[in-house]
Amino acid sequence: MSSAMTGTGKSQRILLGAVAVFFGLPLVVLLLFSLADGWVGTILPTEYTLARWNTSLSSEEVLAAAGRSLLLTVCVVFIDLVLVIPAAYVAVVTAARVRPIIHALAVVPFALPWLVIAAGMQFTTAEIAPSLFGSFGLLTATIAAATFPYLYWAVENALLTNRAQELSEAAAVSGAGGLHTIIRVIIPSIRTGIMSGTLLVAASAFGEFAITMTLAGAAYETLPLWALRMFSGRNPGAGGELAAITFTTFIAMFVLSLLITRIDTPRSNTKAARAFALVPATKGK
Amino acid sequence: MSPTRSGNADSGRAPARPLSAQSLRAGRRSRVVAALPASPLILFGIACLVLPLLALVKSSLELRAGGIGFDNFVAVLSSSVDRQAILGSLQFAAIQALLCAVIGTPLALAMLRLGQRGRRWWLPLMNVATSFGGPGLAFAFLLLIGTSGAITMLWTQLFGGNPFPSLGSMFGLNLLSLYIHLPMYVILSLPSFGMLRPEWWEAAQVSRSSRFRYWRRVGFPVIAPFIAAHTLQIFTWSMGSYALPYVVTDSPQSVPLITVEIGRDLQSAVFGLERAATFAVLLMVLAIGTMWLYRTIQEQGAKIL
Repeated sequence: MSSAMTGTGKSQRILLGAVAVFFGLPLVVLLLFSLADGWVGTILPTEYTLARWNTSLSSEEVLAAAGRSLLLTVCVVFIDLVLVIPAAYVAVVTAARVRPIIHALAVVPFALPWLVIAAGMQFTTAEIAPSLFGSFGLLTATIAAATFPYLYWAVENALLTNRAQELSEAAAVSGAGGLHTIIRVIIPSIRTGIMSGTLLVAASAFGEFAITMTLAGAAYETLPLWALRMFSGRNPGAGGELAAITFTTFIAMFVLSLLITRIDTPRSNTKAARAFALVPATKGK
Repeated sequence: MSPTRSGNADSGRAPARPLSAQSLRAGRRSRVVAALPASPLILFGIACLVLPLLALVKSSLELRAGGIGFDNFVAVLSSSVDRQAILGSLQFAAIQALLCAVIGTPLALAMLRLGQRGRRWWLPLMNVATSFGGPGLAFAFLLLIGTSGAITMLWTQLFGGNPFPSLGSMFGLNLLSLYIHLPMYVILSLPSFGMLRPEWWEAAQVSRSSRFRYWRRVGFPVIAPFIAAHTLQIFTWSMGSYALPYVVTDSPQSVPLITVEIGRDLQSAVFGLERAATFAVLLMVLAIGTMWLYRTIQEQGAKIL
């Protein structure tokens, strides 16, 4: 076998190396800056300290913002789980007719910028219920709507690969009731799909910027909005804290992402790939 | 199996006869009941995704003087400031899409050849990078190529001068955005490029074909439709990207962009939001158009295989 199809050639190793540097350098510089005590007019920091890490990880502002992001994430995940699992079950097992409708809805957050969805939500509430604007409920609902396709595709994929329809029929033949079948047979069989979908929803809800900025702004300062304030503000030490928190978030997300690829089936290992596996051409139907 | 069919099977011994109106109605009712658990998601989707888009269309067509018409679109297209924002967005998205295709295609092919073990580390990294945009990333690049950034300092000491334009310039914005869009392109490409079979290359070798000839006659024609489709997708996503541009394009010298204009209008204006609505509808139309094109091209690509 030659290197055209297997193994990496020299030029490919150079390309991969260059890309690794491009993706790695920002992380290295963030870590350096978070540890720097003096870094003015030099290529590398001159003094190092752990002070920024101490202040940022114990700062009440950071903890409060992280808490808000976490609460938002938990609520979004909860809404998506409650809405998506029954719908996906119905679409695969009992009423295939609803599938095209759900697929059409699921394409919206992929095709359209979330900023446009947020803008639309602002216009809608201005017309129907102005008091909702800026509320936690509206923010959560909009992010849940924008992220639901991640979970839906993961669950639908899992239902199809595990032949949920045959499973339910077999369970029905052996006398199991509908609800019993779902709880005892279906959900356990699609556990990994639910988990990987949930992690994707959580990751995007936690880092969400456009919808939060538009619908909540300063009224609900999540971690990304705190980062924006640190970036724009010129108060001393803000940069170091921003660097420390950004670095931590990246590493946490990386670990989360490693988990996703580990629990996922090899066939569908990335969120965008799964999203676009939906495109009818690639599904054959 | 649909409920009506199983109902017929139950009364299997009776001679076939037309369904009575009653059993038809019962069948329809049980079909509705079967679809019922999906209704909360569908209603939720309509309320939070479809309704807002309709509201945008309505606002973009509503005239301040009353009535409806395309005046808002005419106003946006004839204002030089707004035209610059549209041009800025189009130019940024085109460069970004082109960069992703040129760098991302060989990158995705190289990653495919890494095998399962190598990809185990690359894929999560790419996944995280796609959702990493925002103030943190902008700050990292500021530390690297800002006026007193590490690379800028290094350059100054070696060659003198500062070659790096600001992060909000066309160059800066494109460089920063590659951090998000390049992984997106690769993630989109891996499954479709994976369709290139090793047997094809082996067959080409057996028939003494050169590597260049293999790529020109076999490899490239197979993946070309997918390259086109994914480049188009990156173009659309770049048109709509918001977090990074919002953070770095705050000086008057920065590239004007549609999304940033929408965001600023939404946050500041108390009235006169029709401009934001009009911009948003323009983005919507573009997204729908490219989505349609994307699927058409992909279907073509799938036909080859």
